[in-house]
Amino acid sequence: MKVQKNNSTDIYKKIINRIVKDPSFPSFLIMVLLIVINAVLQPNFFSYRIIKSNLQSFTPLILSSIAQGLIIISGSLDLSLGTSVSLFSVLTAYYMTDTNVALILLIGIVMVIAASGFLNGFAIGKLSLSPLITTYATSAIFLGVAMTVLPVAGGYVPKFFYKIYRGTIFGFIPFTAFILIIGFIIWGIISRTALFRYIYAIGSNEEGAYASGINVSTVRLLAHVIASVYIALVGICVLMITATGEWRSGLGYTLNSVAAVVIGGISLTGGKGNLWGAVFGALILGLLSNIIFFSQISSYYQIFAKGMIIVLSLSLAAIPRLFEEKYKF
Amino acid sequence: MTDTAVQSKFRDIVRRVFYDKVLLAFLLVILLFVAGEIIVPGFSHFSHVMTVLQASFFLGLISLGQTIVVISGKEGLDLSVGSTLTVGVLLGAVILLGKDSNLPLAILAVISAGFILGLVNGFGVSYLGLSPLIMTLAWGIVIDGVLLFISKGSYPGKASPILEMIGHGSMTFMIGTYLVKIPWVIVLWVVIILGIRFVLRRTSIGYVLYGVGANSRAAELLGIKTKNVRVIAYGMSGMLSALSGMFMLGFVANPNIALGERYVLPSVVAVIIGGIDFGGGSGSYLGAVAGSIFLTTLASILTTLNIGEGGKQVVTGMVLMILLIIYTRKKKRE
Amino acid sequence: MESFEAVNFKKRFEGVIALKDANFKFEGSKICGLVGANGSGKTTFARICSGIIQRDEGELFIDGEEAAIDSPHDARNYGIVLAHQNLSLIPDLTVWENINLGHEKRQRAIFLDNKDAKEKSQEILNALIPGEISMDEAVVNLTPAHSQMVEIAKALSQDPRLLILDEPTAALEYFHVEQLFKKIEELKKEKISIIFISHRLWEITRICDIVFVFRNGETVGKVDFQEQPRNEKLIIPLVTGETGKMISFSKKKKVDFEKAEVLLELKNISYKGRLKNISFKMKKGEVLGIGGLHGQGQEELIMLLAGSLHATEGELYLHNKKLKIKHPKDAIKNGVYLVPGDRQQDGLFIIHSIFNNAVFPRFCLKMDSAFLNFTKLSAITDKMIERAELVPPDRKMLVKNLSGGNQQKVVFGRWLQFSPSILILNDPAKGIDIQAKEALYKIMHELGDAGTTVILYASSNEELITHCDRVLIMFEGQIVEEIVHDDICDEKLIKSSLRVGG
Repeated sequence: MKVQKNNSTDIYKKIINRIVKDPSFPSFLIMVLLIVINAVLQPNFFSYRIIKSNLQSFTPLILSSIAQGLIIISGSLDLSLGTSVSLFSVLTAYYMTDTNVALILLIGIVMVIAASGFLNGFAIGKLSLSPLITTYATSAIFLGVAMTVLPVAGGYVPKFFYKIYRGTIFGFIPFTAFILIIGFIIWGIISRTALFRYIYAIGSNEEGAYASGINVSTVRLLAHVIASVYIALVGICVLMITATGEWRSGLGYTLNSVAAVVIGGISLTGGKGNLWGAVFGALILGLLSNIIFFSQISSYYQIFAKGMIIVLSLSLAAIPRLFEEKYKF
Repeated sequence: MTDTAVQSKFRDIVRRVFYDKVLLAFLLVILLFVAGEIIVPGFSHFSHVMTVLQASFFLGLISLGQTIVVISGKEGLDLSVGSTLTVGVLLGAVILLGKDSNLPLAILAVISAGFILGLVNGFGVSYLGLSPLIMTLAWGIVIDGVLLFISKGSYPGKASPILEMIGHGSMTFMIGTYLVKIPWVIVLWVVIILGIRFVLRRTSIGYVLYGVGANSRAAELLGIKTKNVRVIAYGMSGMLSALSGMFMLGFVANPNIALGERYVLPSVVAVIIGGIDFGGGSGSYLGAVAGSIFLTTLASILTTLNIGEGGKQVVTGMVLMILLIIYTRKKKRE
Repeated sequence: MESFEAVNFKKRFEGVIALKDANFKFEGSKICGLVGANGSGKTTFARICSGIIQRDEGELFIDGEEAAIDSPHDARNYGIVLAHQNLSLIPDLTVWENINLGHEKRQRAIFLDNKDAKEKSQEILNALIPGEISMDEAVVNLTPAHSQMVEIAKALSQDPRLLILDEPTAALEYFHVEQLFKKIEELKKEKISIIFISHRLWEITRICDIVFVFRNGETVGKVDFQEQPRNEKLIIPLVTGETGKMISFSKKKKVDFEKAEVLLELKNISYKGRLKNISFKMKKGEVLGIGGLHGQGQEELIMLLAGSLHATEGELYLHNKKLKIKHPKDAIKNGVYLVPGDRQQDGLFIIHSIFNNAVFPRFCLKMDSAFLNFTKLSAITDKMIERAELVPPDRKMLVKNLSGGNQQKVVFGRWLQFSPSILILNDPAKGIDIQAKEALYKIMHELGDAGTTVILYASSNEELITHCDRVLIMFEGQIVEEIVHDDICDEKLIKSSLRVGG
């Protein structure tokens, strides 16, 4: 029965209920927990310097997770994310000289959007190929090209790139925060469009979306293209972090972005979850790296630990599903 | 027969071949060998074909595990096969220490270790409901990490003579005046193929596996503990790749720790070439056999053309894309 | 819409001819019924008219002019909107987001205008069923009846000139149906035409002005209620294609509840608040019906007996021996067999053959050795095919190529090889054509005569009345009334389900 909610405490209750039931809430809690732990292990955690330093490593993680999150919500998947980044890194470093920086960067961005966005998006959206296998194939292609162009780390990146990344704008805003803000602005804009809702629709019930008059293949293509903008940003960050062209440089971002998305409560089947979860998930992974680093475990253990942690986080994320009704109808 | 009757009969045959994914896959293999012969004369002579088939065995065994996992349904996939392969290599070497007397123990140990590692994947996928992609990928990384830690990059031990003989030796006999050499692993492979075909098509185990893959809910309501079936499927995959690793020990003089990684993508591709549906519940291992041979032959041709690792990746990726487009086009028409 | 004429529609899907020669014509705002057995082409026709699929051949005239409809967008331009049978709703979006889907109002070209979207949705839904559904609820959490209503609201929100309703009432409680009919009458007054597709002939004869009958992909007849009486008997022969009589079931055997042996007994069974303190005894040989409104716990009760759920409290006794059913395997081992409600999701291996589907239950019972004896199993399958009158009688045929009715025969028929002691039927006749339905119930009664006890849950009262010895009415997880033998009638069933009156 319809009840008029005039009572303000009822409204607060309603809001809190909504927040707690949100799929990204568990990851939010875990993130807060990790911040606390990290702050304990690293005393000046909340200082400007440390925050700036953390932002430098977290920013590409966050951006790649938003990209992957958008794609996964649309019911697709991008296993070529990391190799796209590698490709960007290699090709830009290969062709860059002191004079053509802006041009090469621009071409690089266009290339990422064309390859990762349009190629994947077209194959998966318009040709209806399986996302898993398609992006596995494109990742092999991107990786292969990158490996062929620069089998060994090389190319040229101007010195100021290195400095800008670790520098500030207007004297106090870290450059990386600036990049993040760009990412958030894009997110803010698209989330107010019908396209955003359609992305959820095709991830949740593709047939129903088509029957509702939604152009499923175009929406899917656009999801990949928008994500590729974020991937291009990641490429720029990575180029600035490594200051060289290296085909290995992007590889970790694939698994990490998928893990971040899953930890953040976004369902791999699509249609469920929100991008805040992707952000929290990325931060969780970043904070975990910090914590492992600061607890000074040997490097052999570190790889093992990272893998175990991903497995454990995923298991934890799966627990709510265990309590779901076994028989749903 | 009249002209049109012949024409339509021909069209019928072509349609039958195209609809039978296994036949199509083998057709692709033959085409590849023809291309190989053109590019590199002598490529398709009997002894070289045997060599290529021999090299395909290891991928073929891993693809068998992959096939079982894919048939078991729910987007089944095992990306940890490279890591379990390495386990097979290391464990085999460490136990054998070059002595034939240790062989039974080595086989037992490798099979058990592979199976148990696979069970972990199965548990995560089946009981925790994790996506196979993520679970097997992550677990593979964990295994790699542990192996790296234990071996610190190198390992003691080596293959035993019998294993080496099986691995790269051949069965020789005379037909008339010709000396025919058939590598032992090919014999082994044929036995395995026949055995698997029997199990999958003529035993209740096979039917249950296909049923669980086709509709796990229906299978569950018909009394099958589907979760356990899938756990065992992953166990089998782990076991088979570990076994493949052990055989590889006999094939390659110095298998290194990064070897496994190279087999993961191809094992998935082989299954796709074999026309096995990732939705589960259908498909034939013979298809994956053709797929394994196809990929190994392709790599062989590329190596002969002096194309580096990067180039191989690109070509494999493009081949995969093309096949995907062809197969999806076909599926769409259904 | 002033006039609508579809001429000679033909449509073929890979290997299957869905429409051979479909014709449909009306003028002015009419309520047109479209009936036909499963597979007769009704839904295909509806989907072509609404642009989701394209016809291979045929012409379409709207308001006298030739119309080209190549996409749902085109259809909407003509004012043709379809409320889908299989729901075009997005489970993870909210009610108002769904109602607006595909035709959202924009502000400044690309940004959404959500403000009055919500209010408008509320209005439309309230016009259908006031006050029952919250706008912010995710559709996945709605009951089937409410979901159906949202689907209809969604269609209405697109200002249709021709509204096509595909099986709109299957999931609805009957008071919802009343409200829907009221709305349909209103729409007619507003000069909106309706195509009403349904299996429920009593509804068709009630509100439709004319009825078209499809059979095997072609229009085989038209009944105009302005010229002829509103009688189902005029329609049925067109649907079945036979002028012969239908089987009438008379309950020859009346189970004597005093003397009959107690086969199954439930004591104080509870399950998570969905089943509360259920206790009853099943007597051997009876057909026990389970009634009540949808979603009162009937599904849970059935799944519990089948072993898919386990009770949190209470006990089960079979042949007076306490039994723990933790898994369907336990149920099957004890002779309790389930014919599931959703044959495609829960019952069939759609991509496999009739043979596979028929022999599968044997595996959990380990009835044969691991090495299958194909001669024996083929014989068993062929016998089943014969008894269930499966068409075509080819055990190698893939189930996905069978009609809905024949598919249901497989789900049902696979238990015939075991001489079931308890058979649980979960809405077996849902969505299948009359002939298949009769065939199934015929077999059910034959089994009953041979000693099988049946639990029947049916969504239509008609089936409960015709076939059951007793009906247990469920309400909010409890058994609230038991109606026996001749007392079982439509009025009593409805009143009892609603907990109304004497």
